[in-house]
Amino acid sequence: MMKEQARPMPIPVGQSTVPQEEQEMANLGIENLSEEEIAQARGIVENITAYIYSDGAPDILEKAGNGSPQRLGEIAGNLVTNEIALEEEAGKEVSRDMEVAIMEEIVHELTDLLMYENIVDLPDEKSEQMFMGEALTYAIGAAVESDDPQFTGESIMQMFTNLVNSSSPQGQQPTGVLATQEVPHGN
Amino acid sequence: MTRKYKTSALTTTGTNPISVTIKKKSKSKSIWKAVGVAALGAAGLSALGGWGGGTGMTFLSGLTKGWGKAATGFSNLFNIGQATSAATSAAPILPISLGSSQGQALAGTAASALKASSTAGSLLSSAGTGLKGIFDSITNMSSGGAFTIGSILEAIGAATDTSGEDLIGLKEKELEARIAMHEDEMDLRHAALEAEAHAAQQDLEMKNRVAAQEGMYMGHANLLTAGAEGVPSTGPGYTPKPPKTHPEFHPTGGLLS
Repeated sequence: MMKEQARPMPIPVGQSTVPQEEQEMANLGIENLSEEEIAQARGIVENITAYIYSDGAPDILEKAGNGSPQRLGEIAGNLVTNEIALEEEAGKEVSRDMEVAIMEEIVHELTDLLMYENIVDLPDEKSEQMFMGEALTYAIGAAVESDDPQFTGESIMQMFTNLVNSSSPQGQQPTGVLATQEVPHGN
Repeated sequence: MTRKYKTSALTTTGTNPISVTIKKKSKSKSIWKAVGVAALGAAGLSALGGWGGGTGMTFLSGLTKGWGKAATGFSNLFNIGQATSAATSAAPILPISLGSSQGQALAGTAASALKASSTAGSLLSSAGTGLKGIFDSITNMSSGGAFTIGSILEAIGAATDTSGEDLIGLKEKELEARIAMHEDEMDLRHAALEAEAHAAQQDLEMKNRVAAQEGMYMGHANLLTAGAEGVPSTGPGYTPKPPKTHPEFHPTGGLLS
């Protein structure tokens, strides 16, 4: 009689050609937003961008001063916070999950504006990324300091820890079927 | 179940679904995400450290304090093997799963940050400190594409690491602050002593007044107690005038003889 298999062979997982680091970062993305949320976020970005490139530019440029990332970030944070407050006053519900993504867009737009006006000199991609990263940090900070009760230090920290935990490809329990214990014949 | 973080970082392809203008395409697909994640983490840790209007703290002091708070939960973890045992204590501060690679990276970097030692030969060694240092580290990683949440946490931890000249500057500032605090404390102690002495004097005078009042007999002050400190002078007191006499009617002065 053939001996019963103690443990079924696990189904091999296909080896991904994408490096783990890239895969990990790819898991964090706007692709996780629903279509409705994307449309809403896009609408908010459109409103702010329309303001930036119409009446708002002179005022923004004046407030941006010498174009420090802190000033630019604070302007971006305030623009987004105010726009979301206006949306909510109009009766729409805005998820704070996409607020940071909206800020990223606005920081990008404002950086383009400052570069176009030769207020900041960012010669390469690295310096642009550093500048925008700093500005984005201050934008998030400005939103935390605003009156919005849904966007606080705790909620930001929660968002960050969710991100860290959810992005982990490890820590998953191995799947499989529990094998039945072999009972020796005789005793 | 943890909710997924829904936002990406900055535009990676120039065609972000929420973009309304075409952006320049980034050379690295991951770099904008890493920058965004780092910004979120830095802002969150800074807020955790108390940065904000009315706290009187700067962003970076908040970041350092926030990182310290997050790292405190891992203070006894100088090797990753012990990480899981501290999950409970660390969870309320920074609920990152220590079973994950990120949690282990945080445990490792927090421990190294606490030891104030820089990671020799790492990308972070030349990064400098502060917010610029964080993004400098992250953008330097772009060439290898080696982005992980752990690397981002390391960059944030390194920004709060104080060593070398920064440490000397901070020590000097700390000394100045301590001297100023000491002077303030001495002023406060002097003020407290003066207030205490004043209160004791007031108490003594009140007791003297009570004793003087109790020592009176039929409207006359007791000379022993009436002259004590704090007892108001009663002056000569009330002396009745001699009665007006009318000799024409009462030659004896009105008194019956």
